[in-house]
This record gives sequence, C-alpha cells and structure tokens, in this order.
Amino acid sequence: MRVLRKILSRYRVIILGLAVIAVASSVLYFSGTSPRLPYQDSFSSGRTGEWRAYGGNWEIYEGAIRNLSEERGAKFVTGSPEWSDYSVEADMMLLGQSGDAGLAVRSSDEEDGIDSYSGYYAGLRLHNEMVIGRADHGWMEYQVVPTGTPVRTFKWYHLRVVAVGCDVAAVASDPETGQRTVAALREEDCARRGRIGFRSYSAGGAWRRVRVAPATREDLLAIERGNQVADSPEVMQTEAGYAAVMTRSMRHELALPPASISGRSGASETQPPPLKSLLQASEAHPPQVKVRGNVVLTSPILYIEDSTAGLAVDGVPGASLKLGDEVEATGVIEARGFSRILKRAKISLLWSREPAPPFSVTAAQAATGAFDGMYIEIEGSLKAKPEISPESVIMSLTSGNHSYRAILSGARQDAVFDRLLPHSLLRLRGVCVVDPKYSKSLTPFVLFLRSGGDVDIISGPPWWDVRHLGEIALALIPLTLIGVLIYTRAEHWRMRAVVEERSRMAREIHDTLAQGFAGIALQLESVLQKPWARGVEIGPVAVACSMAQQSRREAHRSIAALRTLHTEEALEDMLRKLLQTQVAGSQLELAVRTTGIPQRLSGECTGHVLRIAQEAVANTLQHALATRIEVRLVFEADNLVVEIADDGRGFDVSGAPVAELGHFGITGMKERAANIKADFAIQSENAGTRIILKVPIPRGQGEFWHRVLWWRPPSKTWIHPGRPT
Amino acid sequence: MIPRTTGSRLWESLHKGAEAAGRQTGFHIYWNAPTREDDIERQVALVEKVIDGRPAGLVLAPDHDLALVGPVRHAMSRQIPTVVISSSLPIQPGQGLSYILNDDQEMGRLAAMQVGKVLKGKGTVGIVGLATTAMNIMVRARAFEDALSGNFPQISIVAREGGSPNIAELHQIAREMLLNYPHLDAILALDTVATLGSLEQLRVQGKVGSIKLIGCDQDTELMFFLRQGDVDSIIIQNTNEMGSLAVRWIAARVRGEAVPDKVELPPVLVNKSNIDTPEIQRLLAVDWRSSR
Repeated sequence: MRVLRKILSRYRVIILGLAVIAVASSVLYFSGTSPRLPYQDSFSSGRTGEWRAYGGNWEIYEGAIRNLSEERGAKFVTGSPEWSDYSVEADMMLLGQSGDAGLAVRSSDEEDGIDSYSGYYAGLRLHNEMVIGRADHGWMEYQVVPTGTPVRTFKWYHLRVVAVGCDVAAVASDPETGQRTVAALREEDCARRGRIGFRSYSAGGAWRRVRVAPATREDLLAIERGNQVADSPEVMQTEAGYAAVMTRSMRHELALPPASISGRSGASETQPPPLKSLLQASEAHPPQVKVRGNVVLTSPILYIEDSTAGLAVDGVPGASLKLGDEVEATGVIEARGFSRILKRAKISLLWSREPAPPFSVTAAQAATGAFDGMYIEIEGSLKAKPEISPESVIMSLTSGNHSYRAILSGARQDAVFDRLLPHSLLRLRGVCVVDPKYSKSLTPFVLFLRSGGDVDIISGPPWWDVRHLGEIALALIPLTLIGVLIYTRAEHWRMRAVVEERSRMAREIHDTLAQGFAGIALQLESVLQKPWARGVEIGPVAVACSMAQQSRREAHRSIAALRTLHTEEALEDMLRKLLQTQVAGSQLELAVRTTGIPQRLSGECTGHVLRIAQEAVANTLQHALATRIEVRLVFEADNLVVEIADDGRGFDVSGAPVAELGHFGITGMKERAANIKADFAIQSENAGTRIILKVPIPRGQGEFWHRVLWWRPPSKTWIHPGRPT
Repeated sequence: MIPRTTGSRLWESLHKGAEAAGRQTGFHIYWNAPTREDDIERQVALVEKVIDGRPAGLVLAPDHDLALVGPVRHAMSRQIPTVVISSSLPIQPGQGLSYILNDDQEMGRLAAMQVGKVLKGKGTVGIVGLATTAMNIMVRARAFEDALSGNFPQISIVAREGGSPNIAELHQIAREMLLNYPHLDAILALDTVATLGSLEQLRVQGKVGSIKLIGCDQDTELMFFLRQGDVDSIIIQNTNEMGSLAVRWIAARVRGEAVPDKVELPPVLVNKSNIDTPEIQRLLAVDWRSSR
C-alpha cells in the first residue's frame, strides 16, 4: 500500500490528466451519437448511420427510406432516449395490400419482434383506418378511427404524432383531398421519453422528410380539440369489441383483388410451368412463356422464384413490387450464360405475401448455378473492407475454395457495413446470380443483398492478425515502460532500506563489539607494559591481547563492508579504494589493474568479490611477509577473472587451517565464491601466493531492457566509505 | 415466454394468462417471439438468449418439433425449469421439463363431429395443413379420421394436403386442392394459416359457404369471418390457461414444489351461436396489460 501511495502521489498529475481525457472522450462520444432536437432527415445523404433497423428490409430510394418487407412489426429507429415532449412528422406511403405503417414515438427497449419495444405507435391501416396504441412488448390498441376516404397503397400521406405529458395524439392528412383523421390516447402510467421510429406491420412502407421538434400542450390540443381521446384500450382487447370495429370499417374483405402492374390482372387458371423447366427452353426460338413466382429481389433487376428455380424479369420496375409478392409474368425466355431471363415481360400482382425463408447453401453449391435467381443464405469470410459508394456496397468473400461477391445495390449504406472488418465470418442472405452481366466472370456468382439486415456477423476477425498484433505491441510499449519504472522505483526503495539497515548494524558493531575489543586490547597492552610484567611469564595475556586486536580489526572490516553507499564506480576503483585503506600504514605495495571491457556485475556479486579480495589482502598482511600484492581484473566474454597475487613466503595449501579449527578466512572465501557460482583456487609456493576467482557474468541479465530503454540503473554495489573509526 | 409468434389472438391470449399469473406469483414475464411461425432460426436464437439471461424459468411454444430439442435440452442442462406448451417435443418430461398441451385428440374428434353434423353424415372432405414435422397437427388429423370413420362412415376424406407456415405456399396448396376436387363438401384446415389460406381460395373461387370450412386455432380475422358466416366453426385452444398454468408451474418449481409432468387442456368449438358467450370471450381475450 505504501508503494501504491507513493506511485499515486508521484504520478497524480498524469493519472488526473488521463481521467480528464477519459471523461471528456465519453461525453463527446455519447453526445455525438444522440441526435438533438430539432431533428430532421431527408435521407439525401444516402447514409442511415443514425438509424437502427429492427427487422425488415430497409433501403433508400428516391429520397425516401422504404421497407420492402412484409415482416410484421419491422422498425427503423433513431433519436435520443431522452427526448420527452415532442412532435414527429413525415410523409408516408403504404406498399402492401394489408396491414399498416406509421410512426412510433417515445420508443425504448427495442428488439427484433412484432411489438418488441416500449412506446406508442400511430399509423394508417389498410383499409381505411387510422390506429393508435401503446406497445410494451405487446400491443394495446386504444383507437381505430375510420379515415373517411380509402387508404391506398403507393400514395403519399402526411402523418404527425405529438406526445406531451401522458397524451399522444396523431393526425393523418391526405394531401390530395385534404382529409384529416385524428386518433389520440391518454395513459395514467405512461412512457415519458424515448426515440422515434418508422414501423410497418405486414404492409411495408416508405417514409420521407421526417422532422422532430419540441412540442407543447398547445400543439397537442390543436390536434385533440374536438376529437375523442381514448383513455382505455379495453374495447379493442376483446374479440367482440374488435369485431365491432372491424364491422364498422368493413374489413371483412381479404386482400384487394389482384392489381395489375402491366395492364393485365388476375391469375390464370392454367397451371404455369415450374421455373426450372425454362432451362430447357429453346435458345434458337425463344418461346413466349407465362410463369408464376414470388418476388425475391427488386433492385437492380427484378427476380422471382418458385420452389424449383429463380428467374430474372426484365423490363418491369421492381419499385412497384415488394419482396414476397406472388406475381404472374409473361414474356420471352432468353438465355444468358447459365441464366435465363424473361425479356419484354408483363407482370401481374397476384397476392401480397411475406417473403419465404432462404435456402441455406454452401458456396460450392451456389457456384454450380443450381441456385441461380434464388434467395439463399450463405456464409463467407470477408476478404477486405466493403467498397462503399453512393451507388452500391460491394463485398468480396471467400468460402472454402470459392470466392464470390455480395452486392447491395441502391443508395442505402447501412452502418453495418462500416463495422465489417476484413476476415470476419459473415452469414449473408440474398439472391444468387450467375448471370455474367453481374458476375463479370470474376467470380462464379454474385449475391445480391436486399438490405443491411441481410448481413449477420458470425464472428469477427481472428485476434492474431497483423493489425491486432501491432496494436497489442503498441499497447505493450507504454505498459512495459510503466512496469520498468515501477520496478526500478521499488528496487530503489528496497535498496535504500537495505542500506539503512546495514548502516544501523555497522553502528551497532562499532559501538559494541569494536569498542569492546579495543578496550580489552588496550587494557591487556597496559598490563604488558607494566614494569613488573617484564620477565614474567605472561604468554596467555599476550595471546589474549593479540586476539583482541585481531577481533577488533575483523569488526572494523565488517563495519567497512556494512557501511555502504550507492555508487556507480567501476569495480577496479572500488577495489583500489577499499584495499588502499586496508594496506595503509603497512609496507605492502598495492596494484590494481583491469584488462578487457569492464562489465557491470550484480550488487551481490560485487559485494562478494570485494570481500574475497579484502580477505586475501588481510591474509597477505598477516602471514605472507610480502612486499607487493597485485589484483588483476580480467573481463572475458562471460566471466570475470580476479587474480590476487603476492610475493610473500607462501604456505602449504593442503595444510591450511580450516573452519573446524576456528579459522574462517579461506573457508569464508570459498563459501562466498560458491554463493556467486564462481570457481575459486589458491596456488601457493615459496615465491608467493596466487588466488584465482572466476566469476560467471550472466549474459544480458538485466541489461537488455537497460539497453533497449537507454536506461542505466543505479549501481547496487557498496564500498568502504573511508577508514573506519 | 417464447410463443411461436406474437401479435395473434392465439398467442396474445397466452400472454394474458401469463401476465395474470406473473402478477400473482411475482414474476416478470419476458415476452417475445419470431415475427413468423416458420422463422425457426430466430426462435432458437431467442431461446438461447433467454437461457443466457438465467431466467427463473422458460416457457416455450416450439416452432418446430425437432429443431427446438437442442435449445430445450440446453435449458434443462442449465437447471432452468422449462414448460413446453401447445405441442410437445420428442423429449421425455422430467428433469425440470413439463408439458402443457392442447388436447389434439379431442380437437380432431370435435372437428369430425362438426363435419358430420354440417354434412348430415354424408359427403366428401379435404384436409389441409398436414405438417409431418408437427406431431400435434398429425395427431389432430389422425383423431379426425378415426372419429369420422367411426361415426360417419358415409363421409369420405378425398384429399389430404400438406401445410406450411407460409401463407403463399398454403394458398397454392388450397388452390390445387380445389382445382383437383371441385366438389368437396367440407374442408378441415388444421391450423390458422391453413384456415386462412383455404378461406382465401374459397373466396377466389366463389365457394364460400357452399364448401363448409372448419378451422383450427384462434385468429382475430378468422373469428370475424366466423361471425360473417364465411367459416363454419373454429376449434380453439385454451392458450389463456396454458400461459397462466405455465407460469404457476415455474413458480412452484422455483419454490421446490413438484408439478405434473404433463397436462392436456381441452379445446373448445366456437361457432356463431356461442362466440358471444362469456366463456368463449374469456378464452379469446387478449388484454394482457390489465393483467400486469
């Protein structure tokens, strides 16, 4: 904890700065992602990054956003969850033959699902009704109001919804007739804030020129005035109540009679041929055929499929049809590579349907052409970031040994494409097309997506790609620096504690043992110098005096070793300083030399080398009657060789005193050498004694980071500070 | 609670029952489902999401008898009390799994008795909506055939057509059946989509009323068409009670109490004469929010 406090104290400015940056980034991020009021979107930019789709197939088309799916409860949501009292208005068009489409307000907690959100919804319902109600992961219909005039598909209406307090009112206007229809509700326990959204139920729909602005109670009353405000949904929740409303609205007719797009109407009574049979059609004399299928793609070309195959239909504007619509088409079959295309087509809408689920196939199966023109689901690994342009989004993918491209045609660029990273594993849904006009023979087939919702990310790119490794390396550099910094500081503090403790021990030895031995020696010397002592046999006293003096010197050597300080001095200098102090006052000549490139030793190693040299010189002084002693430091690649040689009388190495006899000098040197894994040897003859110490230097230990970081640690060696007192 | 889909009277009645029981037992009901009954993948994903949320219990009306086996076994392995409703899965009850089912035998028998009644014991019938992967539908069909042959030997079943959760496909199936058997006297449609698809084709071919249509499972529009006389009768499930009972069973399991392995709730035949009775209206109510 103390270390932590010191770190916090020392780096508080940096930590505070990082915290300020983090808070500021969060504020900027979140304020940047939540639109503010007033808000509007004309969809002219082609981007829908502020919107999020929950179901449906959404695309931008001619300045409007449209949902081509008949999926029930598809939502397209934007805005801030904090928007409270506001009005939202937009032009709106229904595309299907049944269901409704409109605006959601105060929406929150959205999920994929029919009524999977909390908020309010008001919309126009086919046929001839306006509906308003409360969604709370379930639907409570408050009012169904007849519009007076028929609600038609492919016709723009204007819808405005105002939410103030616990009142929600909506007005739908028919720009052609000026007809206004109002529906309103009031709740006691209401949803008070949330986003806006476009929502369709079976009908699909298109919306444009959406505007959101703060609203007041006057805005609300301007709509509610003179109209009934429903404060309970009860009537709508019973079967009998619902039947009464349906009777009033004459909703008993099912889908409208088939509408003709090309001038023809109605279904033929003869069974049309399966689409797969068209593959056998004569290329020499292209036949006129009548086929039937469900719409699976509307842009860039219309595709229909039945249970056997798919077919491109040329010459019919796909914008007038929705995905899933069942149609009957007539035209001339023409071959294009492995594909067949219905040229000069006329088409009749039979029934408005929900799209069928896709066939799940592999890239290898799709590459055979067996699924040409069919709605499929396929997996693939994204080769590179999607190519996004105002006209299309193109993705290149691989699966096994096959490559293919996925293309979203049209202006809409869903935010999902911005999030896609290379090497992500994707699951895609779309129409498989092998027509060389679209595949350009670059890949066996292309997959035409219908919206960003056709892309699911199964898994992101593997974490070990080059970019991620680079990012990790970049992140590791500052972390390593911080780690080294902390380690250095901690080591520094530890060393200081060690130094302080050793100094305390030195003081204790000096004040007790050394002073005691000095006193004993002084007293014994005074006895020896008494006149009465001359000629008296007092050998034991002289021995005791000598032992006391020896012990005092040993104590001083210990003090010298314990009294330490940090230094960056070279080992040679430390040795010279230490040993000069030791030989001072004697006749012994001292020489210290170094050969090789000096390397730094660890603190422990340096300490032991110094003590061994100190012991060797002490032995020379005491026993060798030498005139000269030389210490050589030889730095080799992996070793330091220390040679201490004197020119004394030598001694019998085999008969040297051992620890068992109370002599610790040579034994101590050997133990110290063993501690640092050094080889220790003594050679002695009449011409002198040579001690050889071979100390291994671990290669790169602790030096790598020092070199990398251009950082030199403080020395961890201690030397005698001067002559002990 | 994950029904086959939401937004229909069949399943919103379930919602109402569950919310009422949730209020009584103190449980919050998470309610969501695929937007289509054939979106099996979405239902599997929803179940897995719910399991990850460590709920007190799971109530599921499976979209598919086989595809949902894995997710349900996953819930059981996580010790999540599970109640499968409406139709069963090929998993033995026990180990935290219970079934609250519609009595499909009785549904088939009721349908047969109604067909016999409207045809006065003589005529031809077509069955639409036979889904071989939905065991409860096949049970309905088998019970219908058994009861019909046992009680009305002069009524013959001349057409047996498949089913689909996709209305477009069903429309095609019904169309082909009516083209092949233009002199049918009655149609038994085994689920909501089959009933709607058959009715649509009867309208297209101008045979509403002349061919009696008996449907299965409740739907808002179908109930209205029944009131209009376009549909002869509809045999409905008691999903309201299913929802209520399922939540109460979960609560009991959480309390450590034993619950039955399986129960079958009797269906009810609805026609113009009884649709306005309080009992039928209660079964068809969907005011789930008032139950909170």
